[in-house]
Amino acid sequence: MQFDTDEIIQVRIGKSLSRNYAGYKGTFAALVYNSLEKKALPGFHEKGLVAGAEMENETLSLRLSGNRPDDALMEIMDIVLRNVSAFPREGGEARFSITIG
Amino acid sequence: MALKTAQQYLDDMGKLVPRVYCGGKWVKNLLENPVTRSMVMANSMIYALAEDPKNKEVMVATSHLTGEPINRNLNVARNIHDLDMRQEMALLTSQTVGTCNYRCVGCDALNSVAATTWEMDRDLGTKYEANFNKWLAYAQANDLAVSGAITDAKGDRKKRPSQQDEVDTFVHLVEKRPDGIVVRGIKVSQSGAIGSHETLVLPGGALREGEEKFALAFAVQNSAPGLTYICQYNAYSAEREACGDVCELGNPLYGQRETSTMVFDNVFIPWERVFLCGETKYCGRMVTRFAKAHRMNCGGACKVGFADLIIGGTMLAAEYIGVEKVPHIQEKIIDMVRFSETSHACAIAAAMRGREEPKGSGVYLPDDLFGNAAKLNIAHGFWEIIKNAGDIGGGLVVTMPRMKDLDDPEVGPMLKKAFGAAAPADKRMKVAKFLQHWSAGLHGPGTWHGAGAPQTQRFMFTVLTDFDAKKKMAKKIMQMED
Repeated sequence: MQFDTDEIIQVRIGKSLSRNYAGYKGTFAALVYNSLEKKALPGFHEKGLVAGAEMENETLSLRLSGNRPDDALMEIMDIVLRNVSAFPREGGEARFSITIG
Repeated sequence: MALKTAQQYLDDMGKLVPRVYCGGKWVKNLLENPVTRSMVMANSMIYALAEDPKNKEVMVATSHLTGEPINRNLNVARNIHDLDMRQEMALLTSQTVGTCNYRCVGCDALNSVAATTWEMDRDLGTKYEANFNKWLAYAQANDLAVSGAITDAKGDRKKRPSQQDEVDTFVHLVEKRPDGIVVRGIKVSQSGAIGSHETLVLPGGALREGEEKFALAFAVQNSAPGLTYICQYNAYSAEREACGDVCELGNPLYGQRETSTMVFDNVFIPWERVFLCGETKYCGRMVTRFAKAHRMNCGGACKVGFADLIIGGTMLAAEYIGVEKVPHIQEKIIDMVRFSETSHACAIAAAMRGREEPKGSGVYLPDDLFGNAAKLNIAHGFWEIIKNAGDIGGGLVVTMPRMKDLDDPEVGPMLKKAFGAAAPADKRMKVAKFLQHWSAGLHGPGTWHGAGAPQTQRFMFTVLTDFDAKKKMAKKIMQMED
C-alpha cells in the first residue's frame, strides 16, 4: 500500500543555494503559522531571529536578523526543518518553498 | 529507510533543539547536558537493539500499512504474536538500559489511537484514521522516536476540567483554523519527549458532553514553537551533573528515568496530525485502550526487566561478602524471582488472551484483566524486590562513600581496607551504588504510579471480575439454593 505522506519543501537562499526537504503533510502550514503568527522558527528560541515573514502563492519569504552568509542561513534552515521531522530529499517536485533574504 | 541506526538517531538529536529547562538552566544541546544526555543515550540503545540480528523477532515488525520492516516501537499489533513480541520488547529494553524505553508510551498510545480512530470513522464518518495512518506511515518510514503524553496537570481533583481556576491544567483547544488547531495547557510526568522526534498526545481521561475543548489527540513535533519542557530534577540529577565521571553512578550511561512537564503555549498542530478533536465520547475509550496495552508492557515486562537487573546485582552483593549460600539469603532471592516472574506470567497471559478491539479494526489489544493483574502485582512486588535488595546489599547501599574516594592517596587505602571482603572494595562499592540506584532512587514510586496508580487497577478488577459467577459456583458446590 502506498501512502501519500510527504510534502516537499524547497529552501532557497540567494540565487544559487537551494535544498529540498521532505516532511509530513502540514509541515509547511506549521512553518507558515509560526513564522507569521509567532515570529518563531522551530529549534530557535531566542526572540528576534525572524525579522519579517510574508506568504504568497505557496512561498514563505523570511527575513532573518543579522548579516549572515548564505551557507550560515542554510545551516539555520537545516536545523529548522529537522526540528519538524523534515529531512533532506534529493529530487522530487517541491510544492512549497521558503525563500530567505 | 525503514530502520534508523543508533548513530543516525544521535545525528538527528544533534540537530534537535527543543526548549528544555533542567535544574535552573536552559539546555542548549541535549547531548552535552549530562542529565538529558542519559535519556538520549538510552533511546539510542533502543535503536541499536533493533540493528542487532539476534533481536530481530522482538525488535522488528512488519508494517501493516506498507509491508516494510519497521521498529516494533512503531507497530500496531495485528495478532497475538505481535502482542507477545511487544511485551518481550519491553522486557529486553529494560534489561538492556535499566531505565525507560522512551518510545514505549508512544507505542502503546499509537495502538490505542489506531483502534479508536477506526471506531470514530466507522461511527461518525470522520477521517481521523486516514490521517493517523498517513502520519504513522511517515513515522515508520523515517523510524521516528515517538513518545507519548497522557497525564494532564489536572489541578483541583474535585473539579472537572472546565471548572478549574487555571484552565491550562488540562491541554485544550484554543482555536480551530482552516489549516490546523492551536492548543495550550500542561502535560506532566512525561517520559522522554525531549529526545523524541515527535510526541503523541492523548486526552488524560474520560470526558463528558460540554468538555469538547479538552477532547484532543494529536502528534506534536519535538521543537514546535510554544512548547517548553521543564525537566524533573532531583538528587540523582544533581549527582550526575556534579560527579565529573559517570562511572561513579549506579546506571552510568542511561541514568534514572528522565521525565518532563510539557507546557503548550498556543502550539499550532496541522490538521494532518490531529486524531481526535471534540469527540468527548471516545476519550475514555482512547485512554482505556492505552492503559490496557501499557499495563501489560509497563507492569508485566518492563519492570520485570528491572527486577532481573536488581536480582543480578543483589546476588553479586551477596557473593562479594560471602553470604550467597546462607539459606535466608537464598530464600529472599527466590522471593524476588517469584514476584517478578509472576508479573511476567500475567503479561504473557494478557498477550495470549488478547483480541481484536474493536471488532473489524484489525487492532489487537491485550486482555484487560491479566494486564491489570501484571501491573498491580508488580506495583506491590517491586517494593518487596527493592526491600530485599537493600536487605542483602546491606547498609553500604546507602552509607558508601564516593567511588572515586578509593583513588584518594590518603583515604583510599583506608576504604580499601574497610570494604574489601570476599571481593575487592571497588567491586563491592560498584554493586552497592548499583543497588542504591534501584532501592533508594526513583524507581519505587515510578513503578507504583507508572501506567496508573494501583487504585486504578483495583477499580478495574471490580469492573472486570464476574463476582456473581464466583458466588454461583460456590453455592453450587455447597448445594445451596438461591
